Amino acid sequence: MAEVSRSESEHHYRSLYENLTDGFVFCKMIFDEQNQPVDFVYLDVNQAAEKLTGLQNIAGKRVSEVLPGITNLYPQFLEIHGRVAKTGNPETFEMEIKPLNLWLSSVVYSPKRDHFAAIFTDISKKKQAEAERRNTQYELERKVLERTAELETAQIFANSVLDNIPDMIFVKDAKELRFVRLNKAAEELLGVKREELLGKNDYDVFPKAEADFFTAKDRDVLAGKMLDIPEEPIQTRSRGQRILHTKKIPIYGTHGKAEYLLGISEDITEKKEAEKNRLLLVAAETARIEAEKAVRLRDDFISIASHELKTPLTPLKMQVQLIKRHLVSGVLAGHPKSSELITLLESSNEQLNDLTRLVNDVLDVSRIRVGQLVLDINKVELDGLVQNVLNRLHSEIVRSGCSVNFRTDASVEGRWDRIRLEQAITNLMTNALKYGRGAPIDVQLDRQNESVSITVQDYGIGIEKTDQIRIFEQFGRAATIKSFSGLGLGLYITREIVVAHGGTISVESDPGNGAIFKIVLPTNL
Amino acid sequence: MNPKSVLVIEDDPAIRETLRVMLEMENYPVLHAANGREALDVLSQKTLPGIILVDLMMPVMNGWEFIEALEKNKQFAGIPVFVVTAFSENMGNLPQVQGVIKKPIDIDSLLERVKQYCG
Repeated sequence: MAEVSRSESEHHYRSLYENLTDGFVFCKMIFDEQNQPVDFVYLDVNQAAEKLTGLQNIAGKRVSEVLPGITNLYPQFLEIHGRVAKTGNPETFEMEIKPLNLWLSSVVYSPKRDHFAAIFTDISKKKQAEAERRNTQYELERKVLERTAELETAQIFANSVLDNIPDMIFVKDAKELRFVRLNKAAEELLGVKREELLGKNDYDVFPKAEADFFTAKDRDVLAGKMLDIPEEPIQTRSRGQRILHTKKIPIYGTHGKAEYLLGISEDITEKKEAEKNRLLLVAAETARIEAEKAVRLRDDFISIASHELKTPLTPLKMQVQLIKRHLVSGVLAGHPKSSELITLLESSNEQLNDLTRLVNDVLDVSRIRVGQLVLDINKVELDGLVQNVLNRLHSEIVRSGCSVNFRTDASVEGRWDRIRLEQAITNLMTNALKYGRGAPIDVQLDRQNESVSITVQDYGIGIEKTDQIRIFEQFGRAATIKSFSGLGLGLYITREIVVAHGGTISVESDPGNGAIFKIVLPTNL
Repeated sequence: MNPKSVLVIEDDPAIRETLRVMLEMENYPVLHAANGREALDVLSQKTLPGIILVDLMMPVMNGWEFIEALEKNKQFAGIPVFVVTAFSENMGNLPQVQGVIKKPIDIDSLLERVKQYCG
């Protein structure tokens, strides 16, 4: 019975052993003199083991025969089995045996001293899967790293672009409208560091009214419309009030919901200022052109008017002279009122002279203004010229009650416009007579090396200091129009004539004690 | 001997008439024209005058053009010309022009000139 049952159980085990899918080997360890494992002998090998290893009929053979070089290739393989055989402590291990194309997962134990049994499976597939997984993992990690590097580069690029754009760029989150991103221009414009602004909203930074405005616009933008705000005042910390041109754009997330608000603001304060200045300049320029046009119209009018006024003066003066000439030569001889009539005609002639002078003055001014004061230069004896002027003014001198003392160097010659010089000296003389209060008038010519001076001194009312420059300007009268008639053009024309000759005119006056007018002319010889 | 005539060339009728009356009252025969063109016609038809008084600014043919035309014609070369003008013109380059009489005209000096050339 014991015999049978033992044989039956042996059969069972044998059957289990033969049908086991795990490989099973039973081996005897061979040690050297130093008791070191050097080889082993396969004593028993199941079918699964042969199938897994691909080795046939190895029972009774040494491993060094079956797998030559294995002990050198995998010293651990021999060591582990040797240790188990020697100590009897079971061990498990995994090892790749390349010559067998096998990934071994093995449980080794020692059923008998110096022997070991090993139950093993091939875990190549598992190992391959693991390796593949590891590869995939590695690939993934590599890709992540690559991507991260790319993102970093992109980020650096984006930041450097953003920071170098001169316009302020800011990004706010859609929920609370807090700043999540700002560029350098934003820092500079607002005068606040980025770190200080990030996480804040407009109410933390700007006055309430402004923050209300900004927030309202932000909400509009987030509700779906892109906004262009052509002019947006903003209070900045370091640069006061600025004007911005701002664009606000919603940034949508993957779900189609606005997640951020992008703002781009150009500081147009200077541009606006420049535009304002340009408009002011344009307005000023327009006004100037208008004014010049008005002045030109006035000048044209004066020029035409004085010509027209002068036209009838010529025949009128001739007619008065003609009538007087014939009265004097006796046409009215014996008429009781003939002398009164002659006096009247003389007076008419004088008044015509005055009128002619006035019209000529106006005509001269309009010529001066359009640069038409052309000189007719000839050799002139100045002493004779002054004497002529005094002779011509004889009746006016008599009427004024002044006496004239004329002193001159022997010969004073030069190259000038005779008629214009006569006009200039006549103007000085008529002024002296007019304002001289009947006191004597000194007229003196002095010759220097290459110039002459003409001095006309009166002892009349004089000219206040503040008026002494003004009198040489157009209409620059010092005396009141109520006391003294005239257009206020004489000294202006006189100065223009003198300046046209390359000379100078000056005045000295002690108000109440008269005035000294002095013309200095280059002789131009 | 009868005095020579005076040719007055003046576009302003008031001045022209006054000159005519004045000169005729002094017994000078007067020829007159309203511009240079008319004056050349007058010169070609009548006895040559002893003096020509010519205005500068005139329509049709102005004083400068008249003087130029006059100087080209040998027949008229000897006639003295006085320019009557409101401007202080320099007539230095025109040999036939003897002088300038400024407007407004002083009749005494004008008659003096006329007497000098027409007797």
